[in-house]
Amino acid sequence: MKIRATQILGSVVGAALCATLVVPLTAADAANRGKPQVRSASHAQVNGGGNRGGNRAGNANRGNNVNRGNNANRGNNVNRNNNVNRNVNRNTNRNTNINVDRDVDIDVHNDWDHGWDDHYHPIATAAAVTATAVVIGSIVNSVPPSCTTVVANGISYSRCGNTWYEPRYSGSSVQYVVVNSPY
Amino acid sequence: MAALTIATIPPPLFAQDTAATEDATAPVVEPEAVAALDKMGESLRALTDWSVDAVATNETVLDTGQKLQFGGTVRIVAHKPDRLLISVKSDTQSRDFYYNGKTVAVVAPKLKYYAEKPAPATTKEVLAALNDKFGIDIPLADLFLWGTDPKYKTALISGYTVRPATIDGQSCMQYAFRQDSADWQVWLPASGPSLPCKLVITSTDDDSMPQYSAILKWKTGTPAPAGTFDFKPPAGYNKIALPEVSEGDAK
Repeated sequence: MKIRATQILGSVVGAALCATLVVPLTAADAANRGKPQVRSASHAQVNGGGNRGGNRAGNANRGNNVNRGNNANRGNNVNRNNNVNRNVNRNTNRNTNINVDRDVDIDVHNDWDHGWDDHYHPIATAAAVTATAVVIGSIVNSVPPSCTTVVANGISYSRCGNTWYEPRYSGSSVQYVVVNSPY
Repeated sequence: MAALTIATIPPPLFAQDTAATEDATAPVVEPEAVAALDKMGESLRALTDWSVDAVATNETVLDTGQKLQFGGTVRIVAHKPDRLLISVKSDTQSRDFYYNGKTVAVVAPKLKYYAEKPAPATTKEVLAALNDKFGIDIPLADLFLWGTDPKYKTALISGYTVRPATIDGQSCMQYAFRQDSADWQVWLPASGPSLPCKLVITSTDDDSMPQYSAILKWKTGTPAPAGTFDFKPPAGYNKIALPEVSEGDAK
């Protein structure tokens, strides 16, 4: 069926809206569940030159998209199984509060905020961070709003429980690098 | 007969390929479209003190190929050749860029972070450094580039006049261009200085072709108030690093 561009409901979206979540989720899980990550963005200049896409460097998890941009693989159902991997991560995350997997937590916060910042935090995204330890050098694209800013030795940190992040620009995005406590 | 057929097959196949690049569907850069760009370049380069207020939309492509659109505004205040303020406010990201001839500040007002770097001597060099060294895609940076270098014309693969249009009540002519990794359209006023009424950039380096669109309102000839281009961090703002984009990241 050909979908007219002026009409959306009654065709594809209507069907999608009928899908229901079977598993009971926390608010944070629900906010992130099933939301795809960002792969690119519109350029806001024509003649920028050398570094198109430099902006997109912010995507710490980019590497997991093995088949991205490879048209030969697109539409190949075998390769689609990548998606399964991502879901596995997310499922693991649900157990994060019991410290099942220490660095998985990173994905929670990346998932939806991924690739853009000035983050929008749907209600309880903050939940898990305090319970988890993260790997030094890991990069996340946002930290929970409950984190506090601490300036030590002239450097700005974002402290979330026992985890310390150093915010910095990556392109025009702000990233947070997990660092050792300055104290 | 059979022998003749076999003998003639290869040449037509070859000839077809050649013909395809020369036929009526081959991309053409119309001289009048280029002339319009020249005129726009001259008008832009003739400005000393100017500002633009733009209403813009940008798009983000998800790894499913689905696009999301976000809206915002861009304010540019410039004094040729070495003062600049760009203030981008969008749903997804707000950034202010200050350049006072000596330093450039990249400010994230919602996050209350800023970075400062020593800056080159001209606005044009600053924009190039932000883009090339630091990976920052400055919106509407082309306004500072058109009319400065013939390479922006030789980059065109196709260009033609589309038709007259009305943008925000103003009579403008629509032009369409293609170049590497971007299809773009510009609307130029039917009369007066040729300062763009609207710009649309379609990024063709992603299959989903995300689009940036901006409608521009110009104000020229009025110098900006003193201090416009100096960033003084308000209380509660913290300085953070702005590292150069590394090889791997720039991919």
